[in-house]
Amino acid sequence: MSQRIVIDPVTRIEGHAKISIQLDDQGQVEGARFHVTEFRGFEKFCLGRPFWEMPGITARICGICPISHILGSAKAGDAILSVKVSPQANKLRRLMNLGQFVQSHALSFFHLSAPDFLLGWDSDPATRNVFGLIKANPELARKGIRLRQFGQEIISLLGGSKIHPAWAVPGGVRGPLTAEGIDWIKGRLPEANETAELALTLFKGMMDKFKAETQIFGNFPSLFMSLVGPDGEWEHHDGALRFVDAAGNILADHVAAADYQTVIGEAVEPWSYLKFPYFKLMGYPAGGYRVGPLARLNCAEHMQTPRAERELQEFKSLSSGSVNNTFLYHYARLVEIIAALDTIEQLVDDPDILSDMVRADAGVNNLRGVGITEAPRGTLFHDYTVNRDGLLEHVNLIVSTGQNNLAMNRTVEQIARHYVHGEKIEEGMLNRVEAGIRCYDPCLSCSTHAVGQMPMEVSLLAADGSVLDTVARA
Amino acid sequence: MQSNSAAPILVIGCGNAIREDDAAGICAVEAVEAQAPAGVLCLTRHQLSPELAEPISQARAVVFVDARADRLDQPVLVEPLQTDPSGAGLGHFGSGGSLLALAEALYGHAPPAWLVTIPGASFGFSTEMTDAGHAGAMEAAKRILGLLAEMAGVGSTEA
Repeated sequence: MSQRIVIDPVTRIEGHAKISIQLDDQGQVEGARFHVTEFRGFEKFCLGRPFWEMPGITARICGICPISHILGSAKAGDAILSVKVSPQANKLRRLMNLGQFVQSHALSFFHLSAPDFLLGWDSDPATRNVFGLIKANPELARKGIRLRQFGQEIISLLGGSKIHPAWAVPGGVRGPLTAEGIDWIKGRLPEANETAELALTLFKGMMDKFKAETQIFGNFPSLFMSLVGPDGEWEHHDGALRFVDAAGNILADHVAAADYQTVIGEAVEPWSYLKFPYFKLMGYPAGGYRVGPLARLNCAEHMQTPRAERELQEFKSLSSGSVNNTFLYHYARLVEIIAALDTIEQLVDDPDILSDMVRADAGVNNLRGVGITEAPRGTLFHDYTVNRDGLLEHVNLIVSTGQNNLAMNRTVEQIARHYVHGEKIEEGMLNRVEAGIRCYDPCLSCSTHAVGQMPMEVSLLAADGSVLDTVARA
Repeated sequence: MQSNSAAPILVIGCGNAIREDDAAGICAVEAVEAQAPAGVLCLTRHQLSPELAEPISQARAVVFVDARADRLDQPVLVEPLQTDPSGAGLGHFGSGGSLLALAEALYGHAPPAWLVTIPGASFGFSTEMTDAGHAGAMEAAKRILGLLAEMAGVGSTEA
């Protein structure tokens, strides 16, 4: 009789999900599924709304990464207007996105994952939390909070609020940065740099300790996709799509936003509200790919600043092809914080960000617009079709967590095969499965366009579907 | 850590300004800010996030103001607030009690604190509060100003 384990809900991720682990007749792991059980349906209820409203509406998909939706939506609006955003506005948008990278990556590393790194996956769950982290390394906890605050404050200085700033709009942005804002950012940059370097050094120093996790937490060949610049440089807002394979070979390159459907298909499964995007040329599910920090570093050939370039090349030296270890998303996230801080430093020295020439005015000149941006968790697509009055007739959103869906399932299965033995769910296994999911820093509020916390439930099921064991966390 | 009268009293309003009466905390704090005595720092937030732990640890006292789902004929409540380590996290949002616990753990000081809750009956999608929700916010502002006046009378001594 085969059996199934369900983990429901998953903790320390954004949203709500459960995991089920199926055992075979011999009690060995046969497969695993990461179910997303939320649904809100933004793609449907936005129909009929003016596309101008979409940055404000889609920002409300998520309180965690609203900036990504604001920027992706504004870019789709640019395409409908058929305008080229001014260089000043583009720099300001890029600055806000980098602030989002810093705050989101800091939250993922310092707040959500550091308890595992510093206290261990087998430590007492009663102390494997923020207070355990503070006890183990109070300075790191304090610095992590301030680094996240730095990123959030950049967003607030530009948009007027940390969450849901109604700032980026079709055609540009509502206003520039102020001189006072620049002074604030410059004043805090040294501390942010120091914290980022500290975290990166800390993580590299723990790599030996994490050898097992590096090999077990989602170590498998896959494709990777991200935006890259014209010369293959790391990109987070502009550029075009690139796919690379596990060996680092480029499979598709310079794919423009409007052409994304030539390379990406979307499959659905009856057991999850997440869609399953795949690389069309390889079909489903063989064309499953990963996005986010690991993918961006695998797709990029170089960084734009010397310090970030050193870190990128050191990261790439871990493998002769692509770095396939999901656990190293954490490492990639820290390299991206360095790259973001370097670029922020360049941007605040650029006089363009004080310019008030930041918005192009136009009417509907295209009936379809696609906006792509890199959210901290990965590539985000906003695809709108409008009528001549600018009212939405079709909306398609592809978010990063959805694109990592196949990989998350595979990661859970790999961890389960290694750690599940018998018919009971052990705490160490539970936390490792959760930690495997946390590597992707998934945002299920975005991926189902739903909202909520991310508690987790794990169930162990027999071959006949009966539940052998269930562990739930609020 | 600071414990003298030079340290500010923080009044923190929390809520979602596009969910009707959920904005009551923000509305109340904006009304307080217009009349607040010197030494009072008013903040409004969509969520209570961990970054607030540092300014809270440096405050003389802190007043959290939030809406609560309740019948509108129920009163505004002003209650002393204790640290709540069980709810503390470093995620995107927390409670007033969890932020006090975080302030104590990270910075060694959690000031005396109060939680003011305002009954709200409608939390739909609108930037307009109900009349009753707004009246509750104004009542809360009055109570908070009274509390601030009491604290000013107490001077620099911590509870």
